[in-house]
Amino acid sequence: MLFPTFTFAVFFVIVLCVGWLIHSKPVLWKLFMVGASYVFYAWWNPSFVLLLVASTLVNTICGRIIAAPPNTSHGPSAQATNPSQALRKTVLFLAIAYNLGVLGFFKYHDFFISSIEDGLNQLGWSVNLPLLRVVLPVGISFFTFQALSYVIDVYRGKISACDLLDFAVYLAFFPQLVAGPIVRASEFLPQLSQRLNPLNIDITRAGILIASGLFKKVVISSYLADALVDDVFGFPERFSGLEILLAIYGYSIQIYADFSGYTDIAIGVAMLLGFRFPENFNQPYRATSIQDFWRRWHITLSSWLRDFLYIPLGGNRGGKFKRDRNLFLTMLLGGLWHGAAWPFVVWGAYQGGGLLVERRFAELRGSRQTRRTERRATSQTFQAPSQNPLAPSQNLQARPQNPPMRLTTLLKWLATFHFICVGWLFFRSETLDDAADMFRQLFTSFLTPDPKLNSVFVGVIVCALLMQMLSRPALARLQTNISRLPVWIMALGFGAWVLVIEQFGPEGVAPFIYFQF
Amino acid sequence: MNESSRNPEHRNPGHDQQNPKRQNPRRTVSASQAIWGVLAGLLIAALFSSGSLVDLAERQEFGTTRDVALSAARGFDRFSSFFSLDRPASALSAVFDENETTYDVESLIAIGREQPNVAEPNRAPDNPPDATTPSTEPTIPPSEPTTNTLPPTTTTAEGTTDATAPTSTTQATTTTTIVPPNPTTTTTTTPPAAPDGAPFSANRRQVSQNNPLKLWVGGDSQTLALTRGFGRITSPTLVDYTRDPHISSGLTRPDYLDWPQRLAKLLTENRPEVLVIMFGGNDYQDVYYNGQLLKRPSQAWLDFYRTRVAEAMDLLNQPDVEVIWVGVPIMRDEFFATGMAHLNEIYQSEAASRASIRYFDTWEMFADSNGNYTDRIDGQLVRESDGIHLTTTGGVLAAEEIWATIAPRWGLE
Repeated sequence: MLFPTFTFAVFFVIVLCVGWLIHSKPVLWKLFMVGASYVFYAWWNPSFVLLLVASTLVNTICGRIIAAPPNTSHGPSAQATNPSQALRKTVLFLAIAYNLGVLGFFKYHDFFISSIEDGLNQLGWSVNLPLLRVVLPVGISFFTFQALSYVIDVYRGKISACDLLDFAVYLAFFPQLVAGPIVRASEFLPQLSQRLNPLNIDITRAGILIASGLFKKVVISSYLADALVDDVFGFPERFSGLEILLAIYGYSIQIYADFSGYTDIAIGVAMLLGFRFPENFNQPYRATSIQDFWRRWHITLSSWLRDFLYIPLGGNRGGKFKRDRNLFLTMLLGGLWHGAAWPFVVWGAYQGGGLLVERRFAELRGSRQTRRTERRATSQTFQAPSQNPLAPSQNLQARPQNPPMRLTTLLKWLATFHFICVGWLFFRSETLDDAADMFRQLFTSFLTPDPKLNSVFVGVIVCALLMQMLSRPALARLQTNISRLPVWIMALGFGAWVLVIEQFGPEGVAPFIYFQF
Repeated sequence: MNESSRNPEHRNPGHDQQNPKRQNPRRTVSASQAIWGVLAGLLIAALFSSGSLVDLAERQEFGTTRDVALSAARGFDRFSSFFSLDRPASALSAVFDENETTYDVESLIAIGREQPNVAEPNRAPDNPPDATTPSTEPTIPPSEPTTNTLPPTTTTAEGTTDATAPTSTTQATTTTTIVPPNPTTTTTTTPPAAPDGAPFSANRRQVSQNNPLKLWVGGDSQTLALTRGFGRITSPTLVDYTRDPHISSGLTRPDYLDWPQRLAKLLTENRPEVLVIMFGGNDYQDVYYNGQLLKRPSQAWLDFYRTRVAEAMDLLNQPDVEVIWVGVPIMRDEFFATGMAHLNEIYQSEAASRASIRYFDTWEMFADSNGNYTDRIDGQLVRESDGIHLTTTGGVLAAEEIWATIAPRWGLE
């Protein structure tokens, strides 16, 4: 069930009404929400609901067993179990193996087999190994990471083990189920344990998030894909370098509009149901460094990778080489998380390499400003136990600052934006050969006598970039002012906005890009 | 004041629930107000976009749900029209929506039917045996045989398209101005023979960089890969290439996407010289036709579908257009594969009787040596994991095979 559809609108109205009608009966509410979420998921493929159920059962049981001992845990369930440390470790390992195993089976099996085949073929051994050729369950990467965050945080004693029903709601909660944001158990379960507050619905922010998300997905993303991006990435040989450059810019905006549009809707929908989700995007194309970009782009993934991969790998401990190695590995695996194909691996390596070079360059330069920035980044972003170049912490002070645009800032912004754009070229290409074709075409025939330049296409890109530069305090003030309007005026505005989206959007809506991840 | 201090949700999710008034300057509402707000917003959206709501309901799968949705949507539409709430949508459509233009499908079909045919072994019946004759006759008489280019009409068809009606009835209110044929397409020579022996009435000409071959490839989602393939293998300078793949589309449900209208627009506005088209993946579904449920693959259903194919082929059977109708490749699912074999038989037999249309079979191209479905050909993955769609590699493979039968005729080997 896609968000920008009539089916979802009907589904959501039912869930919203019934949900608030029974909110004072928590068990009933949870049962209803699990059922509704399973219906939402089954809309794609009913059999994959079994995968969700299995994941729920396995992780709940494992969570109960590995719950931290009484002296470090806070829940009564942990006190009841109190298993030995060895057993806890073993069960944690089994839980991680299960989650990664399921993900690997559905997502990476064929990729690894094909890669082995290719390698053997290169050596002259022609083999055909059996492939699974199964359809990837929608959102498996997202709910697997959420399940992992639960069992690991339970092991670390950061959260208590929850009961089956609570975990079922957490894992299947439909707003976040298929494409994030990756809401951690430590962020979601405390809200679930509190009674929902029916007197504090931020309808203004929820409405603006849903409306802007719909516009970004249905109008911006679809238009950019249809106007040039799909054609250029489909057969770059037919286009000049200038057109390819425009398509790369276009895809940069398209993927932002598509993914942030989805998470905007998800956050808005959850807000109407009484839940607060963490922010997932913060004007990422405003970034003036690669590090800055990764604090603004897919924030929940970045922070997940920080806490569950980078730090366990050693983080900043062990010197610069190990820090760089950990960072590179984290980004490499982050790339592979996005898709089982070599371009994603290269994309991850490219981002990791870029972060390393940027950091080493900053260290070498050693200017006062750099040191100041480093100190600020260290103190703001990476709370103990270690520094982390990936994601913002939840600490308010760590939020990326939006400095005024000066010439040096402008140059840094330009360099960062183009670095990210080149990365998207790998990300969007089906194969490395396709990416190479794009590069070749970009540099060998930049201008043709009759380039097909579309002024609307260029205008959309420029406007989208300018929107990234808007002042967040000003936007917040605008939201505050809108919130003072009567609800019926907001409803009228929403209805008119949907009309605009309907007029400018295509017939039918393509699935969100991040569904495939 | 820092913005984030105004938005506590950025810090600790759920935290502001404890002290909402103190920390959040935005006015919040109660759940009941939120529900009314959401309902009102969606209701207003539905009234403003009532026409689209009807279209949406028509596109649903046939059955009770569709009937209920359609009744409700039409009720909304009537209410909206009565109070002129649909005016903003009409105004926006008038300014931005070019789809309102209606093209004369019937006249093009008439031209197609007048082309000299190769043979008529399996000519489609005028109407399916279980279906009644459409009640609304086209208001436009068939145009003169010499006229093959028609401009778009400016009159919008009134009412909504009946999803189950044949496409000819949807043009009932069209008015058309007929213009002379495109001068570039009027030169006639002896029709060359296609590689399979079927004559084409299309005219070869000297293709050059200044006057490249106009090639169009389109159809349903299966053509996503095929169009990428053609884009990759054809010359950027000698082939003026346009692609038009549409997910979920087909010939069974013109209410979802009216391909005859789309093709009429193509033939009228940007007439290609070579047209490669492929359908089938979304067409094998039960349909209501003139009040009767036609179950696949009953004879009535097959006759119904043959009529749709025949109409589309008549439309494309223009004297100056070379059409390659690509058959559906073998599918992994046996039931689906059987259905696709039925469709291929219809495509093949209908194409055989039309001078400008040639059927191109891809079934065996994507089967193994035993004639069974295979994911890989020569070690390369040619099918997606759904067992239906072609990969880009598969699309390139199919495009190469098809192009090999087109290129020599235009001196593009």
